[in-house]
Amino acid sequence: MLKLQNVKCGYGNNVILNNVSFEVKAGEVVCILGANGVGKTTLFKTVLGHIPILGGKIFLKEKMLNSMSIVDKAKEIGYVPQAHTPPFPFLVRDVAVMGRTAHLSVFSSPSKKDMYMAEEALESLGIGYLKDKVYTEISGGERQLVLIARALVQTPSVLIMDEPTSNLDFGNQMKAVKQVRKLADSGLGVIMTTHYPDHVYQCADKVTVIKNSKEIIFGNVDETMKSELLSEIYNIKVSVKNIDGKNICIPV
Amino acid sequence: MVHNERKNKTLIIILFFVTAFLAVISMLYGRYHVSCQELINYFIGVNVDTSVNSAIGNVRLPRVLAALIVGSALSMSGASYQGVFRNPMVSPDLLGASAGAGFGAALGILLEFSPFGIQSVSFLFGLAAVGLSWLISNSIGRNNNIILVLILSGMVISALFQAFISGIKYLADPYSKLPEITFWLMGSLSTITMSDLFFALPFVILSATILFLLRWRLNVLVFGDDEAVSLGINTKKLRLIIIVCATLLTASVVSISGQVGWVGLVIPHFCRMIVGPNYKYLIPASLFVGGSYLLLVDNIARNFLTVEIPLGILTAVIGAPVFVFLLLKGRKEWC
Repeated sequence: MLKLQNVKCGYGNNVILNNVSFEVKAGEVVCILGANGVGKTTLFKTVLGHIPILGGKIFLKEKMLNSMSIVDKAKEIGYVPQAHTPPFPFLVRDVAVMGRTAHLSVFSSPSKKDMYMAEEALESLGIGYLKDKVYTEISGGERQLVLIARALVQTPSVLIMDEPTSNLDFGNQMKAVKQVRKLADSGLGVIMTTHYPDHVYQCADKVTVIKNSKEIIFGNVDETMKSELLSEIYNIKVSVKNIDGKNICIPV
Repeated sequence: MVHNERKNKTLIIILFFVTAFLAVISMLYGRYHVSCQELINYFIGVNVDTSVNSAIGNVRLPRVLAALIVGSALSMSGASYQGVFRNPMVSPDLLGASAGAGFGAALGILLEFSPFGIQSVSFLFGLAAVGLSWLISNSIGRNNNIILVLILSGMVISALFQAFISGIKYLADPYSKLPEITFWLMGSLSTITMSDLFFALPFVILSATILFLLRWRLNVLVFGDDEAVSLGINTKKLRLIIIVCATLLTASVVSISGQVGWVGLVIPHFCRMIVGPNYKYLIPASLFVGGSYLLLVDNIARNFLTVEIPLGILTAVIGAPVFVFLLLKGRKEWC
């Protein structure tokens, strides 16, 4: 559905990643793994169109992504940023309904139907009870879920998530990972970055491992996520063990 | 506090009636007392006494309308600026609109322009100052943190125009021009006429209408460029349109009223407390509360003492403590 072909990205003359190629299909989760500062965010910014693409092509459903308008892109690609605090105390449902922006005409504000969609999305993520709460006063984990709800009411076909598990406690991390899997099972294509190899085993179908600016490996999770590669990208010795049929990654 | 839609709609209707009521009351009081009957007669045009006619038509009506328009424009402009800059501590003179307009007026007074000339020069310099801030920020900023760069450019331009104002004050004749410039800078509606209003009104109506129509999108802009773009907003375009409209509002009213501070900072804050941060309601609330507030303050300015108190002094003397009070009361609301 979303396909990157030899994408080159970076800022102006400063090329950060070369030759990135991977694809996410409907119903699939693709995780992006790599050390801090390797260029995961830059890649996202390029896909989302926040910075211009320096080379290569990105296709969305066979269409060139950079020929699409901002509004058309927003109808297809939902972005879930890391939760942060906005300067004003918006209500949770007002935040969630902002996902409808691309579907509204320039001068209008969300209708009752839009608000209903937002409330349903919150409900589907199990946080319907938060809808009248103040967004700046709920916990980081809850905010992350609200942002997912906001992306869902965009009715996108691809979801891009920037470290949806960062800043969450252990229990909330697992809930978030399960939620990601559920979203993909409902037919969305999901691309997410993470710093936890275990999350990749738990929810991803494919993985893109960024070793450095030139070596980017894309493949099935179990074939790609071997201890040698993980040791190499994180610069520590890592062992991958299989416990009760599940792979986990342990530093040794 | 939960701000639900129905409650907010009711609140805005109440605010409208409060504003209208205040406007009528303000017509009655002043140095020349007008009775209710005389006011009604004036508007339906029967049995009008000439002195009543001149008190209302030449003095009271323009002044009441001016207070409403200036107050509404400044607070709508402030609310919009705060959204664009994602910061509740921002006032509409951030990018130099006030300083530029002040310089223009001082220059116009120094060069002995007509009142219309002074307004025009003031208005143009207000716009020019903001335009300069915008140009500077664009040549420095491009992609990295455009908002911070804009704020810094605005500070530089404001400081520059303040220095120009000082320069003109230094050159001005201390017995005739200097007091006039100083008085203008303090802000006042005492000499306002209908033709002054007609100067500002087209800009005010045009920009206020655009801001009113686009108001819901300001909410999305508050979440930052990256998120707003991925939600489907052309942030560069929207930000430019909002800054242009908000600046037109500020520059056009400041050019007829002089520098009236604090309204654009305090009123949006207060409104956020009563209707919440959603711009769908914040913009209309700012419109009515801003208008009523300046009307009240102007009533004090002209009735409290036997001499007229400059409006800008009062808005600061009232605005500063009110602002501190709002901060203490609503700490949670903005941090």
